[in-house]
Amino acid sequence: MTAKTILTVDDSPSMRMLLRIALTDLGYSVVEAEDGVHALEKLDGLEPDLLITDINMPRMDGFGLISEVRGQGRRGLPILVLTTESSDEKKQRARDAGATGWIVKPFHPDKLATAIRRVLH
Amino acid sequence: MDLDAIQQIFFQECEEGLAGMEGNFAALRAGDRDAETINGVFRCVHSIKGGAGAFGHERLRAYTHQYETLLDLVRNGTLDLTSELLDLVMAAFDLLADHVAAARDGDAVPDDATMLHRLSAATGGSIAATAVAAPQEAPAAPAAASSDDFDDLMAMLGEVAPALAEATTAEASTDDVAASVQVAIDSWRLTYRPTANAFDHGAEPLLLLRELSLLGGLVTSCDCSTLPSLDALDPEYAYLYWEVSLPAYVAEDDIRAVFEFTDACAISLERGPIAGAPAAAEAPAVPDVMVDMDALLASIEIPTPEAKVEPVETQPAAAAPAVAPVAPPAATPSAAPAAMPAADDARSASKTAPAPTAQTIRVDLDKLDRLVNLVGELVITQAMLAQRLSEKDLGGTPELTDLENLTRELQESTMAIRAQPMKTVFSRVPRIIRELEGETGKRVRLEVDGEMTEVDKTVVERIGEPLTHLIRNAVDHGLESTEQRIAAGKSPEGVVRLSAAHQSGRIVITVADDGKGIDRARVRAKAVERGIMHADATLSDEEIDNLIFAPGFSTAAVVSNVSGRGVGLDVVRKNIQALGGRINIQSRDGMGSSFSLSLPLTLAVLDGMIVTVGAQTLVIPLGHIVESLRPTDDVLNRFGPDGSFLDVRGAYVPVLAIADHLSIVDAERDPKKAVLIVVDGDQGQTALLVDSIQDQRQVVVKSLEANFQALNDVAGATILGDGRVALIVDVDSLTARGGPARGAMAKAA
Repeated sequence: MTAKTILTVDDSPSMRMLLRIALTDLGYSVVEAEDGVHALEKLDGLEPDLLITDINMPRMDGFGLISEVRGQGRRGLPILVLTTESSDEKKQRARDAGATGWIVKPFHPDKLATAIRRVLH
Repeated sequence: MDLDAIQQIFFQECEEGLAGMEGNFAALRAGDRDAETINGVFRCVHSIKGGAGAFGHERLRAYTHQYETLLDLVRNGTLDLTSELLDLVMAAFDLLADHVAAARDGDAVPDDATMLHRLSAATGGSIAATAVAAPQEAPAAPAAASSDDFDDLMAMLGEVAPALAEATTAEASTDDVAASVQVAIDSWRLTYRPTANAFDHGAEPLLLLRELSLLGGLVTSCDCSTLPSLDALDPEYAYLYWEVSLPAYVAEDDIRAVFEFTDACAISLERGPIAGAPAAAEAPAVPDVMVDMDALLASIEIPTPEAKVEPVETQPAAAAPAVAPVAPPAATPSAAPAAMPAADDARSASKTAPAPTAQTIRVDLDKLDRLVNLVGELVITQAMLAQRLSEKDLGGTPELTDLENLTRELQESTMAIRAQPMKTVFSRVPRIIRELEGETGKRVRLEVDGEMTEVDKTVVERIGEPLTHLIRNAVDHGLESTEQRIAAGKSPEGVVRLSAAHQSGRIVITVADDGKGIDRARVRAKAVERGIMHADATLSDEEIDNLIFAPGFSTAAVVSNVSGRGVGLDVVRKNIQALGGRINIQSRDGMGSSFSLSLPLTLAVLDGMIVTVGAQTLVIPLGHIVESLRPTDDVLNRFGPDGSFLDVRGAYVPVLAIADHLSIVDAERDPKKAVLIVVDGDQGQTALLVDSIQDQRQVVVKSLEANFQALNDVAGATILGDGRVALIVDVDSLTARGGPARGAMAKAA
């Protein structure tokens, strides 16, 4: 069985690397993007099983990315938002844009695994 | 790659981010209130916060959190960025830099209590206003229409879902289920209702039910009362909701944790006996229903001919969207074409928007140094080959010229990889100026020019300290106090100009101020007082200016907090020379002073004079050389048996035979038959005695320590065209140790 593909979007290389290590350990295959615009380029021709995105990014932020992705008709794609915000307002905005759920940074790999298990078959 | 290495990358990001923000602050300070400018600062702080949390720097995280809260209020316009607030934001930024440095170096966390208090005071009151969260309510589900057959089917489906959920727990047998029903008499009752558009958001209720079942949960009922008739059914709409009972021993937090990551659902959780015991009692019978599913679905009368009913897969994933296959034909196909043009638009938009950020790649510095080294070897090999060929009268062949050009280009390109813009150094200066303004009470305007000028990474790394010193010196000693400036008819605001430019293969960095200029009378008096010069000596203005670089010289009336840090400009000059550089002063009375640093673009290549001493070939760094001459009797003064001084236009310079210090035999010792090279070192000028000068050219510097061992008076080595190793003379070390001549001078004095 081929590994599930997860697209991670974060402008911080160290955060991307942390995610890559954690996700690879969990047996997923990882594709990375640096921001929303970059993620949309990657999504052109890619059908990931899950999208994990940061919110605050240059060029196109996480909210914009999620709206675009949903607008493209990818409605069944689970999207988890990586956020340091515990504010309800941010979560509300993420959900309004079409996010499936969130992972609050800093995350423990176990927490990441649990969150993924809840949105990915 | 381990966590430490990632953390290093994080700190690199922090530094780049912090350095990048100085430009934003300069713009904000100039009155720019562009949203993206303040947003940039916010993002920078936000990223640091994220990393700080991830790497366990709790104090840094807490600090950035408070800081970010303030920035967020500024960013969304809740707070007006007044100049007072900007001062606070910048002060907080400076402390952030300290915080990051402390976290990186493992030092004590800086005291941020006062700043946290000020930040929180600045955000105070306005937080409450924004913290009101929008109420979260699931949209009301449409009223159920009735169609008897279909409702029955859906009722069945509602019961299948719990069964499927249970099936995912491999160990769950009918007996276990029965047992949990018993336990569940006093238990948790959870109502789980996904929001209507949950499927649009990629949510899958079944996965959450599976999680609950892993906790020991048991689905007691599925409410499908809101399900419309088949023709009104939207397959992508979440109609169903579930009531779940969980054993009393399950912790409430564990249950809530299942839903922690999302709010695309409404849950209510209460404790008590299960209502509607029949629902629980029916549960064990569910597997029978599941067995009947295919037959059941097959027996349904299809309302439209196009609709195709696919058999429901008996795998858990199919449960929740199980309604999809029986969808009205129009729903799914029409949704797709509608979405396609939008997708195309978005894609073409993202394609046409050019990426403004430069494409970069991070490379391990070791790998790069290896490459630089290899190219160095190649240059040497090429030179050896050229020499060998010229011995065979094949020197001028066009192929050899091509190879030479290619090698040189390769070398330059490789050096360019290591090059970094001066910006990394210059961007720290505004902060230094801000601090100096606070310490001295002077008002300073900083002008920066040529910050994109590139120079080798090592030079960039090592230029910071001398440059900081010169900036401090310019503000502290160069600029007058505000009152003095006004009295002199100058603008009350002093100007410090910082610039960098390439000049004939070197980089020239200038620190200039528009202050009072060097007070030569005072410098002279001080130099005499300190015994640096004789009271009767006649010195040119330039020579007096250069006295401030003499060791132990300080003109500040009071040793100030700013420049009086125990190091003088002599240390600056020493550091610059260690980089193969030179420093020059230009000063005009009442108009200001200008310090120019001239540095090589790279430390891997050195401009050197190739000289012969006995059987040895040595390299003397060109940066130190003042002049070379073949002495005549009238400029040579002898002291004692073997000491001598060279008279260089009235100044006496000790003559030092390199051969004595490096134990080279068969070298010329008679200055009149040799060549004297006057060099500028730590201890002033010295005339080095060598047999002859061979050439003047660039050499590739090789570390002796890495390849052999450190030697006194030797800075490194290079490999010559004929394959022989030539040592590079460490001028400072050689002249500081002093020769017999210097000893003789001490005796004479």
